Amino acid sequence: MVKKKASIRIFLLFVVPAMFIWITVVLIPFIYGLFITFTDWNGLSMDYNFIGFDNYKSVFLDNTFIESLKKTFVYSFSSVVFSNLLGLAIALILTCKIKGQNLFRMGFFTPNIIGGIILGYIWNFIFAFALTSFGRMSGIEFFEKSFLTDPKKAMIALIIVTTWQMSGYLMVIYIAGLINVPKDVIEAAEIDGAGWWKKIRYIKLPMIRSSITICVFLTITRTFMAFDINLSLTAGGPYKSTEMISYKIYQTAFSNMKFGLGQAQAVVLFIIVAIISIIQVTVSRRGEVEA
Amino acid sequence: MKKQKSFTYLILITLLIIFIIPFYLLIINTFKTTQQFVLNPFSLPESFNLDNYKEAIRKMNFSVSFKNTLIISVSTTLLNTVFSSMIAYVFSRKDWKINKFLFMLLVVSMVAPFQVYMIPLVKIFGGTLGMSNKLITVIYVGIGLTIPFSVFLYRGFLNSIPKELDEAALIDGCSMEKTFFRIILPLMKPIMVTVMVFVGLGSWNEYLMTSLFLTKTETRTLSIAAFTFLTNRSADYSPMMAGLVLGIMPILIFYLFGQKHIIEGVVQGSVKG
Repeated sequence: MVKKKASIRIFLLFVVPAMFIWITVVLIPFIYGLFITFTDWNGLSMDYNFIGFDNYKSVFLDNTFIESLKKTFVYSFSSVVFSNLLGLAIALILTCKIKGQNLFRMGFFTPNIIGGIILGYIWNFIFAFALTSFGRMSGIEFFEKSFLTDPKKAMIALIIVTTWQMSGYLMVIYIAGLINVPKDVIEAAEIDGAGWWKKIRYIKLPMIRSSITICVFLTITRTFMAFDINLSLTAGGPYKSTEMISYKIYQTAFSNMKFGLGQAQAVVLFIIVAIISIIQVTVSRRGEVEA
Repeated sequence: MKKQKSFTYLILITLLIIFIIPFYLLIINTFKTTQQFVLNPFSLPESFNLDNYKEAIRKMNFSVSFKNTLIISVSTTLLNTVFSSMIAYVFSRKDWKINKFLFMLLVVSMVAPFQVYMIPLVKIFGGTLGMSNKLITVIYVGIGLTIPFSVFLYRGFLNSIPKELDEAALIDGCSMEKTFFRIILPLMKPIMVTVMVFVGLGSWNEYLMTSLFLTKTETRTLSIAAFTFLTNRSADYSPMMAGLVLGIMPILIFYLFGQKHIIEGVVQGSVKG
């Protein structure tokens, strides 16, 4: 009896406060959000109607949503490839007994401590003024017109900024993986006459497989949810050419005042991210067994 | 061999310059007038002209936004630490069924992107409860959103602290609260630094969630102030860039002193989460 009372006291003191906050901020909004997707609520009026699965139907019948989904795939895929290649390359160089490793690491990591909104604006100035003026001075036509006003190049601008930001981040994870590669294995390979490429291809890369898995999935989920840079660098423009999924949800809800539809789009995004996470867990489990 | 080494350094330094050049261009142009900037963004400023900073400070309401950002990030970080570490302690020490169930719920919820909660949160806190334009709303929501991740990391760390330690204290007549605050909490310092850096930096840079609740000039954070300043586009670019520098300065100074902890915190935070 005494023990049970004591347990309840501990539960109330230690568990309830955190759970109360979490339930009110995460659980209730999540359930309420599912409820909203079955209504035609506009966010302002008091009344709404139940419309069944109409919102979900509209999500997939809406061409602009499918378009933004495609753009997100393109953006995500390119950013994942480029930022991982660059991050891995820097990590490989930095783990080769380089002096001032810490200083380099700190420099490459800097973009990650600054919020996406401010980073986006910094690059806004770079693309709009610095690069164009570089184009004029050097006579390279490609740079003369701002990337951000050209529907074809605006996406490239987004990918550049994302790669620039994330590769420093991935570099840190790759360095941690590379440091753990046993030195005697590398030395043995050197004695056998392996050059730098063979050492990377046959020893280092296979031994940092788990870091690669982490980095790839981290970049996929991050790029699928990207919002801040999308807003401050291109604001979805020019002519909606860079409107990606997170930004699209925001627009649907808060510019077009279609809360039910916006929430249904958010649920679709949630399902995509959940599927990616499930794949990640299975892939990394399988890797562990083999290793 | 030596040639190869200097070639490596050359590549590294070139790469680093490309990485850092946006910040360099940003800073040198804040000392110029807008005309000088548009004419040639690469030229060095003629003098350290601080007019742009003065104008940015005035238009961004810098001191107010700075204060708001500081209040929000410090409160979110501290309160998150208290609530999450306490619940994680009981999760790690008591294998009650309800604990297992609650912990599983928290872990599963980490998968969901913020966009799923965004609209309902605005409706509930902004609409029904009328809590818009209050810093406390952003702090409360911020804590709620970061709890799963912090609990996950704290619990993992606590599992590695031997149970015999608290059992000894309990036998000596210490209550569970006392054991936690006097004995366990001090041992959690390394993981706390990691979590606090991650939560603190995240909340300092937060834009989307904050922008949904804080719209008045008096309640703006630095991110929102920078955003509003830059969207009301006049053609006056130099003060805008000074505004951006003001926005990143506090965090850069912080970074210079604690770079090791910050890099570790940011990276470990999301790798384990």
